[in-house]
Amino acid sequence: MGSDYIAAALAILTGVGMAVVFSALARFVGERRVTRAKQIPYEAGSDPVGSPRVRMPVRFYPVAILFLAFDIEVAFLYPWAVNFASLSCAGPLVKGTCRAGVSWLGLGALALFMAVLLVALAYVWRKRAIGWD
Amino acid sequence: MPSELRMIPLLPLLSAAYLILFGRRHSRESVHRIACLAVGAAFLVSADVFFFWFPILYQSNGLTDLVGTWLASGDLQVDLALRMDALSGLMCLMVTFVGTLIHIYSTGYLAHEQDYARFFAYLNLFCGAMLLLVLGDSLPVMFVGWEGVGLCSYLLIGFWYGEAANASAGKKAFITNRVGDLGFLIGMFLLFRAVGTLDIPVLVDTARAGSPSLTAALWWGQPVAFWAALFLFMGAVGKSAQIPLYVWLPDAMAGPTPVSALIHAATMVTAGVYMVARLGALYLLAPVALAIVAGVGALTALFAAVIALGQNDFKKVLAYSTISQLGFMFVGVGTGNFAGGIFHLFTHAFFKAGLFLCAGSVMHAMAGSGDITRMGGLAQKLPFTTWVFRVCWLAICGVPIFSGFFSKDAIVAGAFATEVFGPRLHWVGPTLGAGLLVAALGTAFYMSRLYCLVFTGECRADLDTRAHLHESPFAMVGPLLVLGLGALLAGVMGLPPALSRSHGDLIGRWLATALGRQPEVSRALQWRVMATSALIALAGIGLAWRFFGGGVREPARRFTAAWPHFTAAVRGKFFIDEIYDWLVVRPLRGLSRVFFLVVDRILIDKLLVGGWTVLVDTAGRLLRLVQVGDVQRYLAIFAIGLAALVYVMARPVAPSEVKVRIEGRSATVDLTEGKAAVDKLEYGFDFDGDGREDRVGAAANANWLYPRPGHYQLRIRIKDPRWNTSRTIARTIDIP
Amino acid sequence: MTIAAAQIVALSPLLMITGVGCLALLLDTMAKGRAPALWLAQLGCVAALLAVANQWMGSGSSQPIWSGMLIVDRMALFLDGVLIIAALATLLVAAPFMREHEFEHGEHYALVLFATAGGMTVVHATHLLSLLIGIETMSLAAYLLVASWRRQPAGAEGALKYLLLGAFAAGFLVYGTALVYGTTGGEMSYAGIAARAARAADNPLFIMGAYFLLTGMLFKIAAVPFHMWAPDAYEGAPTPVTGLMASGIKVAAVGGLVRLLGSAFANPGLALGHAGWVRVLGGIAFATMTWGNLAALRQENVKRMLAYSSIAHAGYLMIGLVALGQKVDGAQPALLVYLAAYAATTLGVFTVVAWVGRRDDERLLIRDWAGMARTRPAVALAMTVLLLSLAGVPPTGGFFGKFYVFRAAMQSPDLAWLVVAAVLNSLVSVYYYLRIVVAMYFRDPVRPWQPFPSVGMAIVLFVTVVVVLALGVVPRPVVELAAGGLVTHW
Repeated sequence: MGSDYIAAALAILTGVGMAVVFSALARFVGERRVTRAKQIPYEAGSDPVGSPRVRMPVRFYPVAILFLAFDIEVAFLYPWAVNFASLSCAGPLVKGTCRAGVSWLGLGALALFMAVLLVALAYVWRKRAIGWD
Repeated sequence: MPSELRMIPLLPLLSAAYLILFGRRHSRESVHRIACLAVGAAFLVSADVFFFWFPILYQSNGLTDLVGTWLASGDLQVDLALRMDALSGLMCLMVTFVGTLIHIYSTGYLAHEQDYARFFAYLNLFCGAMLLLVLGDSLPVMFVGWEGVGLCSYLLIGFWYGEAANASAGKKAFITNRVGDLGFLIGMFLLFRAVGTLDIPVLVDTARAGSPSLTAALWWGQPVAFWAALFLFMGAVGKSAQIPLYVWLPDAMAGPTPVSALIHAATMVTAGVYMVARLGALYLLAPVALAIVAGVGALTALFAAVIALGQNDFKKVLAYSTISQLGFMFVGVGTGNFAGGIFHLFTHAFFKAGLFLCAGSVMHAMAGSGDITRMGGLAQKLPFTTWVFRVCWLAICGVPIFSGFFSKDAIVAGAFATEVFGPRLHWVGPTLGAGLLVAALGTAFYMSRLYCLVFTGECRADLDTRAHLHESPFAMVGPLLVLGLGALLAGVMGLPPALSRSHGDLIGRWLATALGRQPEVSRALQWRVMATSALIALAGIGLAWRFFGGGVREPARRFTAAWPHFTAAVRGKFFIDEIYDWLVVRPLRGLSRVFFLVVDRILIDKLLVGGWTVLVDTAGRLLRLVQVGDVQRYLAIFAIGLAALVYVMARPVAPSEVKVRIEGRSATVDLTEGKAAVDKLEYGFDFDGDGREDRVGAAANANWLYPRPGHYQLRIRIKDPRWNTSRTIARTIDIP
Repeated sequence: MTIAAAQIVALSPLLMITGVGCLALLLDTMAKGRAPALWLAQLGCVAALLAVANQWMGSGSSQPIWSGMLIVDRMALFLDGVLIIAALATLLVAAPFMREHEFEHGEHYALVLFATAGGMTVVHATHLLSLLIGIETMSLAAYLLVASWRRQPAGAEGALKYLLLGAFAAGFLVYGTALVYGTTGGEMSYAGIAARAARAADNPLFIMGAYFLLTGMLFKIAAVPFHMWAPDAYEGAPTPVTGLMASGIKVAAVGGLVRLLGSAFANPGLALGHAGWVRVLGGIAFATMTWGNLAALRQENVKRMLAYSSIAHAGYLMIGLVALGQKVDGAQPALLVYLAAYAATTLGVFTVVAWVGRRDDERLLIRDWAGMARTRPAVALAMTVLLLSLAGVPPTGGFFGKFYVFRAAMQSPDLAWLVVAAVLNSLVSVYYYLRIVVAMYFRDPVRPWQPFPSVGMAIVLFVTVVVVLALGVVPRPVVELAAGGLVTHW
């Protein structure tokens, strides 16, 4: 029981720690220029006040669609992560532990999945679908 | 095992395919080089196989080349297999050898022809088909070759299709042959039904063993073997131009002369004889069939010889002569003397091909005309042709030393000595032999008449033609000389035992294994036949010289004046073509007219086609209403279709059987016999048609006692509570 | 769970096609011009064909993969071969076609491979999930391919209809999967469904689930009444894509149906509803071939006519499917022979259709084909042979395919009426196939004839005609292949 809390605490610590570390790094290492665009609430650049029926550059849509596509694909990682233990065991799990040898099926499947995602990413990149121009 | 056997038919076939596709792009030289090389190579391959494997060939069943399984359907398994034994090997050699010579000859004969490549393609195709016919190891393969040569014959007779007469001569040949082919097919079916296979060696072995499957009576007390043999012979009658189907062969002379020499003299027309010899064992089981074969042969030999007496066209005389000689061959095989028949086939190939090629050479010189009344005295102008013609002429007349003498005597002697007909039909053999001797006299006479009118005396052609008379080019003369040599010497292959102490009869010994028992001919008989036939030949020649030596002489004129009707009948070929026209062609034409008017015009045009259009129109319009293009409607149809599917599927099925039993006033209804596959159904029975269900429950049967007799409406409702679907069936019940 | 090298080897054709598809997609973004992607895709097809052959020679027994998600057996390998050859032919024809009509995309080549990979997954699937994945992979690629000719409004229209209706059908597929899963107590593998089917058969939800699954699949082979998308999509798609849809995609869907009916619902006592699926599918088969043929009779547009013809053929194929479900001996090999012959014929026919059109002049009306025999005798002859094969006239592969399927169906007394109807239908179909032949041979050319030369198309046309004739003259080798083992007697 106690070990579970320790794991959770570790996860929280790591998460917060990473956020802090990256923010700090950005603050100290990066160059900063304060502009109006960066100060408004929606960083995407749209004005929070005004008519919603404005003409948007069409380039937003590919980005939005691609974001959705990759986002949803990443969601597939959850069921994989949940079943990682059983996928990595050559035999059935006995009370949550693996008595048989290690199977690479879990890792291999994910590697394949990521590879396909990477292909898609590379394709999108090379097609300049995520660039502005 | 020599898988090069398949090369023999394949080489000419490939060449034919190539020439048909690409021939027009090649020059004349390359066209005939390809064509001649293909056939020549086929000859070399056959010679190689034949002589290399000779010891095996002639003592055994021969060599087989199994290319693969061709057809396998139910019990029928047909292999695409080729077999070379002594018989097919000999045929193969003859076909390729004569074929090569005639290919070479054609290069000269058709030097001015436009459609050069097409001609050689057909000629090659013919050789390939003929070789397939000869080498085929099963009847279906043989039949493919059989039809193939028929097709080539059709194509080549009508080669100059620009003229309607040529085209219709081709059609006549094709259609007449079709009649015979029907017989061939029926014979094949009979054999398959009786024996269960169509492999020739198996059939022959079965026949030799006298298997009851072949000797069992089939129709009218005759055995299967008789009917199969008879129907197969019908095919042979068509292909080999025997009475009554010979009429196409004289017309077939419309084709180019090399074609007449190769197809209509030396090879294709002998296919029938070959087939009978090949299946000889089958024929030996049915003496009556053999007698029919021999009888038809003898009759044809005589009849055609008589017609040939009165013909004035060079090639027509030769055509009737071919028919007559084929009759000789059929007498040979029909008297069980298969080796004799094949021997005559072999020598005939040489001298008849030679005669035809001489005819071609003469007509070449005469600017294409074949009218012998306008020839004469050509011996000086065409020395080589004349010499070859003389040899072939003496050979066909049966003058001693020349090849025809030996082969004809083999047949005649065999006919006198034969015992295949059994004691009851013993008289048949000698009768046929005597008939053949008469036919031989006719042969000597009409051939000598031909010789006299063409080569002796004064030239009767017009001046223009006379000025252009010339000997043919070497491409034509060369093959002629070779064939002439063959006509002179081919007899050596089959010297009768009387002359050679039984070692000279090469053909007889070679074919002994392939053909089985041959009739024994005593030496005395051989001597007698030889002497008689030599005398007959000389008599025929002498008589012809008296009538026609150096032109038409006085005795001939007197004969014509004395027998005007007979002469007219002979000149008119006994009007057989006209009789066929009245008996067959015209009634068929009338019938076809009736069919055209009734079936085509009224039934099909009006009813079927008209009805169709209305139906299709309506259907098309309805379907178009549906397929308008908007997605909503498509989706609706999808959904409605699925709903209909579920409805059909979920509704209880009407039971296939509703049993109603009435005993007095009580009626019992039972659906259990034809119940739907699923149970757990509810049944409601309304026996008296009052709308109320009298019995409800899971039972599929119920009974009811009617209060009074009468006519009642019975309703049964079948319900599936799970789907909440139901079906109602109604019946009427009469209570007496 | 483990993953063994043997399983990867067994699946190598599928993996190769998928991998090469990905690589071609990438290569196209980096290389100059479209040619490298094309060559890579073609090479991938050849390599995958070799892999199929290797598997075929290797082991005769079937091999389950990944706990029964997929299976590698002789039927799957046979259909793999057909699918890959269809893809290769499509690539060969599509490249010159797109160049001529100026819409060449490298993605096109990758999508052809993705569609093929989806189809291969369908024929390997022994689990409803892998079936679904295969179907969707195949369909998504197909939607894109149909729409790929952007200047052609009909293509976008057809693709949209195809997509909307396809999504609808996919919904049924998923719904059916869920129902079967629920009513069998959590089974999605075919073997599991077959084991539990007898108990679940009383449950209406199971039966509905089974029919929904069948509906989803029947949509893919364009069976009436789920066929409405087909004429529009076939007509609007670039012609080589139409060829792929009529051959590869239909072959894959039929392969999937063979597995569903042959294993998941193979229990002979399983009637599925009162009428029983034999009668329901028989009725659909009848409606499909009749509708297809009647609608084709009046079409003036060759592509649309062929679309209806393809619907009619789906009807003939369904006869084989019903016979298969009836456990008729030889129904499966008969279907496979039919599929092979039909795929070859269709690819050839659409190659000719692709070949006749020039830029801005597609020549799709029958009257545009008038007099082709005079200027292009060889192509006209090839087209005639192919059309005769579609009509089922000997000596063509189409004849033997039909012959085997009908012969198998004749063994079941329930199907005799269907065979009679199919033969009558074939007779009707001769009419509209011959309309093209008549136009080519007996009408005077209306417009000058200027097709563009292409080696790829010539190769595809030649090979398909040879295959069609070879299947018609010596069908034995393919019949033996389809029956599961090639006896080496050559």
